[in-house]
Amino acid sequence: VRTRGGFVAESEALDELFVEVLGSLFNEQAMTIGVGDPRAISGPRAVSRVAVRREADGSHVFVEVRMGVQTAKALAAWMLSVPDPDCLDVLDAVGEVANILAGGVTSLIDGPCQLSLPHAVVAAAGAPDPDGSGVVRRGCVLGQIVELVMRDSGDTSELLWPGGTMEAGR
Amino acid sequence: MKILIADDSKAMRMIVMRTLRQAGLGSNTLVEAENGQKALELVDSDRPDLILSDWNMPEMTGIELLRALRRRGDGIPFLFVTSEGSPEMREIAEQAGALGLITKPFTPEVFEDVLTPVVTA
Repeated sequence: VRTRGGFVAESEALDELFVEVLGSLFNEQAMTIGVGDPRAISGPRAVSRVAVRREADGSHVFVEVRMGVQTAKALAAWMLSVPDPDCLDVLDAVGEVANILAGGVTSLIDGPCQLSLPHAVVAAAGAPDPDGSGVVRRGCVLGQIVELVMRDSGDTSELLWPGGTMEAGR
Repeated sequence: MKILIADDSKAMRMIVMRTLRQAGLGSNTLVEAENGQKALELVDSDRPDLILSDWNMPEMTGIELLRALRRRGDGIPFLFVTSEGSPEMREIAEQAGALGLITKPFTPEVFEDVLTPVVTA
């Protein structure tokens, strides 16, 4: 992942961004946790993704957020002030987490960038990750694990871009 | 005062409305739009006094909305509430006629500091 100094070198800034966004959106204390922590996301998960396209060369960084569906429901309930959010509300809330994190990530990338609109889905427990590994940050909020994954390759075919144009048309 | 909130995320529109209330601005009338095109239609039908708009939205972006308003001579006060806050974006926003840009996530204190002068002007 090619960024200013690399994401590994930016880990402190990324951790601060991750904790700030989780804490603000969940309205709860949030913290990062290390790779050695055995806790994991259990059951079906809500996954949202935003692509950050560098205008200089058209390359992408993909920002993905993963959390358990129950955690996502708690987030949507808080954000929307409803006791039982429906599936669209849950995907909307999780998508906004990725959107805000991606906006913060642009500050770690040299030059102007363009964000895609968030694309959020619910994935079955243990579903394979089609895009493979990336730089992973793990956070904890409400006692549950939330993951931030960044990678420099991925599928852009399902992403929408501001103004409504598909990636293929740009 | 009537405030138009344009954001494609319903959850974020709710957060903006809640934050307005927490900032002491909840007595204003709040109207919502899910993209720039809908916001433009609401400007015509509802005549808001202030627009708080996301930047990245489907159909019509926030900056396209702002430019459309200014092109037709509409000087309605306009602030971006968006996830990106780079110096380049702030410059683009101000050149297009925005009062400023609030980055997400935000706090009631930020809303109060930025919006109170606008609302009470």
